Amino acid sequence: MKLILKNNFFFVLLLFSNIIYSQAESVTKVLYKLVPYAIPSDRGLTREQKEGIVKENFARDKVECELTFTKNKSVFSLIEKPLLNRDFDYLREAVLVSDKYYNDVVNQKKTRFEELGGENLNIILPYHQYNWEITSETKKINDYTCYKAICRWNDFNMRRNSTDVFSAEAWFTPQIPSSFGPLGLDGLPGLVLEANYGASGIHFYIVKIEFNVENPKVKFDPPAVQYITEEEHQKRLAKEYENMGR
Amino acid sequence: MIKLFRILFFVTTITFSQTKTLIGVVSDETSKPLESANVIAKPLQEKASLKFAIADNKGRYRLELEKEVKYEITVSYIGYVEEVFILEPSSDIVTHDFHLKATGENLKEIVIKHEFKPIVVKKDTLVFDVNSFANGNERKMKEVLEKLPGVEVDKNGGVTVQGKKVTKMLVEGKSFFGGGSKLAVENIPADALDKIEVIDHFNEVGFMKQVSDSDDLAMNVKLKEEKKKFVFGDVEAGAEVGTGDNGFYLAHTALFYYSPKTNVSFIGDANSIGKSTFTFDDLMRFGGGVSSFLSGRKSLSNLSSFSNDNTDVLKNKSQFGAFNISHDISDKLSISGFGIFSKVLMASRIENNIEYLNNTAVAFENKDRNAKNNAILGIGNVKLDYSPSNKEKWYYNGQYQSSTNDLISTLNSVTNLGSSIFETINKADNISVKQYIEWHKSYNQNHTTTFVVNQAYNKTTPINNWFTDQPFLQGLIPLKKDETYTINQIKKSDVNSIDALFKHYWIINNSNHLYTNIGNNYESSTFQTAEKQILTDGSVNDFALSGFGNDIKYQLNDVYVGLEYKFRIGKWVNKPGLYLHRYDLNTIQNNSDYSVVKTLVQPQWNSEYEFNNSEAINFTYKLDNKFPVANQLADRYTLQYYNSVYKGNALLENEKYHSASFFYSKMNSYRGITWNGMLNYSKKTKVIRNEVELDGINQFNTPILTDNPEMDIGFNGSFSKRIYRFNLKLNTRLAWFEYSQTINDIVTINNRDSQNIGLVFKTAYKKWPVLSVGYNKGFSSFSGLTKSHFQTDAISSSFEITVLKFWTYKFNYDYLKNIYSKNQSNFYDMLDTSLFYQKKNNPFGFQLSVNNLLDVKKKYSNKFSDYMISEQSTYILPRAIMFSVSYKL
Repeated sequence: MKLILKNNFFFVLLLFSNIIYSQAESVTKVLYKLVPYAIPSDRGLTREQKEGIVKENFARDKVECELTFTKNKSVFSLIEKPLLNRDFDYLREAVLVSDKYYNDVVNQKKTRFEELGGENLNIILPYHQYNWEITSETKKINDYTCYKAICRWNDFNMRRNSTDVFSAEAWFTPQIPSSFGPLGLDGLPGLVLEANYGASGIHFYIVKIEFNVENPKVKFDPPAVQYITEEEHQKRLAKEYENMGR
Repeated sequence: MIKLFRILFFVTTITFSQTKTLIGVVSDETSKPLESANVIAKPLQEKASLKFAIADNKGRYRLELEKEVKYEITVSYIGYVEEVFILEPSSDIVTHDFHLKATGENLKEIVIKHEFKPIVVKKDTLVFDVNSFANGNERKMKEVLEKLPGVEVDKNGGVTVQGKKVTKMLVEGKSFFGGGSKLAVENIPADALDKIEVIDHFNEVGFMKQVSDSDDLAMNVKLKEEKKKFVFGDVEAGAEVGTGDNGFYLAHTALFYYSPKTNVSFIGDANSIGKSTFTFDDLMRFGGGVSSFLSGRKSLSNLSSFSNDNTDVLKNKSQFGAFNISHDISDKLSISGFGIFSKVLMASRIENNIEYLNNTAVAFENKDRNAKNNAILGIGNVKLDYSPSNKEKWYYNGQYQSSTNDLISTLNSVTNLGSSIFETINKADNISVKQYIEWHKSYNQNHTTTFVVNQAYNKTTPINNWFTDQPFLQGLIPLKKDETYTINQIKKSDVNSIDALFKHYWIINNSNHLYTNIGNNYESSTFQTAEKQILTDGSVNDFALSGFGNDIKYQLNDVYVGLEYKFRIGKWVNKPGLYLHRYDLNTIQNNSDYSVVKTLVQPQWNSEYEFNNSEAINFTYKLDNKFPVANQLADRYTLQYYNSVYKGNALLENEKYHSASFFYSKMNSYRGITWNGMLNYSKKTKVIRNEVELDGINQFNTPILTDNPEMDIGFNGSFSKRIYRFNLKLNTRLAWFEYSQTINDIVTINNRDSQNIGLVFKTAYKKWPVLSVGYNKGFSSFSGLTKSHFQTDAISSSFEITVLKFWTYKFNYDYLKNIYSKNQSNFYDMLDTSLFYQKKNNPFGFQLSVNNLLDVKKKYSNKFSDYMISEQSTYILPRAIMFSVSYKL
C-alpha cells in the first residue's frame, strides 16, 4: 500500500509536468493571420490594379486574430490594434474578421458578438453550426498531419435575393485535441490550422500556439448585451441597407 | 463535445449497414487515460470514407468502421508520439487499446512555419455581356446599365448592383477621369461597351458584413477592341428671356477624349450670370498637386474660387478655358498636367453706413463705392508619378502661374463734416513658380520614410493711383496743397521659399510607435513701397522725405526636429510630441540690421479613445509660435487706403499661442441618431496686434507685441434624429473671443461673443421629392468701452422633385434679417428656381431658370467694433430669367 501511494505521488508529479488539460482549466492561445492575395501576372492587370492588391496585402499582414480556449470554452477575436486607428487600409481588412465568437461546450451555446449600426448584439448561433464532411485529403503543416473538412450549405443571399450555396473549408489536426477553430469554424475533432470561408477574402493560417498561458486576460463569456436570433439579425441588416440607400 | 460525437456515431450507424465496431482505451505509458485523444481510421482502399473517434474522459473511444475494409488507425495527442494500428479487412478484432509514449517535450509555445498558397483572387465576378442585354438603340452607358438584371442607376449617376453601391468605377482597369461613376455612366458611348464586370469581395459570406463605406464594390468596363478611343462631352448655351434686358448669356462645354493610355479633358465657359465654371468633380480632377505633408506653404494652387458662384456684384462677365491631360508613359511612370486661362470682368457696388462711437469729430459716414475689376489669370501645371517598385513612390509637381488685375474704383464719402470723392486705379501683376518633390518608401511593415521638398517663388507688383478733390489723411500724409490731388504708390513683393521635411515612421510593436521629423523651412523675401504726390503743375512731392517708403530684406529660417510617440493604455491611444525649433529671423532696412534668434520648444499632445466603431472621443493640444511677415516689420509709413496709414514695427518678435480642441461623436444608424460636439480653445500669450490712432475717419495703425492675452473659445454641437422617413437636426454654435485693443493710447479689454441655434427638417427617403427647411437664430454682442448687441433670423429652404420622369423642378429660398442697435433692422431674401426637361435617350436637354426671382437689389450685413457700427449693402445681380439648351455628344 505504502509503495503504491509513493508511486502514485511520483506519477502524479510526472503527469503534472506533461499534462495539457489539467483540472485547473489550462488556457491555450492560438494566433492566426490572413493569407495574402496572389498577384496574377498573366491576366494583364493594370498598374493601378496590381498596386491595389499589394496595398491590400500589406494591410492584411497586419491583421492578427486570437483563439483562446480551455477544455470547454473558447473565444475568438481580432487582436485590437488601437495605434493603427489612422491606417485605413488596415481598418478595411480588419473589419472582415472583427466579430467575436463565443463557444460554451457544457451549455451547448454558441454566439457571435457584433456591432451593427451602433448597437452591440449577441447573435445566437446554432450549436452545431457546421455539418462537416471530413475528406481523406491530407497535408502536413509543420510536423502536423492535417485533414481537410468541407461544409456546404444553402442560405438566402440577401443581396442577390436568391438562395445560394455557401461553403467553408478547414484543415485540422487530430494531434492537437480541441474542437475549436477561427471565426466560429468549430466542431472538428482537432485544432483547425488553416480555414477559409468560401471565396471571400477570409482565409486564416496559424502562426503559433501557446500552451498553459498564465495570465490569459480574456473573458470566456459573451458581454452583457442583448441576445437576438439570426432572423432578427437579418431584419436589422435589411433595415441598415435601407437606411444606407437614403 | 463528447455528446456531439456520440450523435455523429449514431448517425453513421444508421446510414451504414455493413459496419463493425472497434472500441478501446487510449492512455499513456502509465495507463492514465488521455481524454480527448483523437482516433482516426483511414481506409487503405478506394470508395471508403474516413472515420473519427474522440476519447472520452476515461480514454474510451468507439469507432464505427466498414466491414471488409483495411484501415490504418492512428491515435495522436499533443506531447505524445503517434501510434498506428493496421486493421485488416477480414480481422474480427473488436477492441484495441493504445498506449502512447510521451515525447518528453515540455511544450510551451509552438511557432508554425506555414507554407500557404496566396489566395487566387477568386473574388466573385459577375460578367455581363453587353450584347445579350442591349438592343443597339442606347446612346450612353447609363441606358445599357439599366437593362442589366439587378443593376440600377440613380439620377446622380450612382450605380447599385443587387442593392450594393458601386464605389469604384474603372474603365479597362483604371479609374476614369478622376473616379466617380457619374461621368462614366452618363458619357461613355453605349456602342463602345463590350463587357461589364462587377467585382465583389464578399458574395460568398453567409452573413452580410458591415454596411460602412469600406465595403468596396468595383465595376470594370471593358471596351470593344476597335472602340477604345472615343470623344464625349456636353455643350450648353443659354440666353436671357422675358422682359429683362441685361443681356445675360451663358455658354459651357466639357469635352473629353479617352484612350486607354491617354486622357484629355477640356472645359470652356463664358457667362455673365456669375455662374461657377468648375463643378466639384472638375475641381477634384484638376486640383491634384498638394503636398499634404508640409504645413503652411503647401498648396500649389487654390482653384476653389472657380467652383463658387459669384452673384454679389453688379456685373460679372467671365471667360474660362481649362484643359487636362494624363498619360501613362510606362508601367511605372505616368505624367499629367493642366492649363487654365481665365478672364473676369466685374462691376461691383457697396454702400456702407457707419456710425462712429465716442468720436468727437465725426458722428457718421456714408460710403458708396463703385468698382470695376478686370482679372486675367493663366496657370500651367505638370505632375509626374513614378513607382519603381511596390514599396517606393516618387511624385513631382510643378506649377507656373501668372495673373494681372486691373481695378478702377470710385468712392463717395459723406460725413457730417463734408463730402469727398476718391478714385483709385490699381494694377497688380503676379507671377509665381512653385514645385515640390515627394518620396515615400516602405522598408517593411515596421519602417516607412517620407521626404518632401517644396520650393516656391512669388512676385507681386501692385501699383495704386489715387485721385481726389479734397485733401485727405490730414496730418498723416505730407500732402502739398493743390486743386486736385494725385497720389501714386508702387509696391513690390518678392518671396522665395524652400521647405524640406524628412519623416520616419517606426512601428515598434502593437503598443508603441515612434515618429521622427526633421525639417527646415526657409524664406527669403524683399518688400518695397514708394509713394509720391504728383502735383497739377507736374512737380513731384516725394513722401520718402517724410518717413514714407519701405525697402526691407527679410529672411526667416526655421530648422526643427520633432519626436512623436504613440502609445496605448488598453484602447486609449495617446500621442505626445515634442518639437524643437530654432528660428532665425533677419531683416535689413534703412541701413540697420535686426536679428532675432530663438530656440523654442513646441510640445503637442493628441489623445483618442474609440469606444467602438460608432463612438469616439478626441483631444488635441498644441503650442505654436508664429513669426511676423515682411510688411509687419517694414517700419516706414505706408499709405493703405483713403483713410488709413500703416507703419510696421522693426522690433516685432514671434506670437505664441496654445490651442486645444476636444471632439466627441456618437452614431447609432440603427436608431438614426447622431451626436457631434466640438470644443475649440486657443490662447495667445504673446500677441501682435495693431495699435490704432483715430482722428475723425482717419486711422493710423502700427503693430505691437503685447503680453495681453487673447482668448478664443468656440463650441459646435449637433444632434440629428431620423423619424420615420424624415430627418430632424438641431445645431448650436457658441463663440467667445476676448482680446485687448489700444485706441488712442487707451488699452481696453474687448469681448465678442455669439450664440447660434438652428433647426433643420429634411425628407430622407429616396423615392420622395427632396425637401429641406431650416431656421437659425443668432445673437451676438460686443463689449469694450462701448456695448452693442445684434440678432439675426435666418430661414433657408430647398425643394427638388422629378415629375412625369423627364421634368425636374428645383426651388431654393433664403431669408436673412439683421436686428441691431436701437431696434433698427434690415432684411433680404433670395429665391432661385429652375425647371429642366430631358427625354430619355435624348441628347437634348432644356432648362428654364430664374435667379433672384424677387429681383432683390442688395444684400445686407453688419460689422461692429469698439469705435464703429457699420451696416453694409452689397449690390447683387438683378433677376436673370434664362433659357438654355444642352446637347450631349
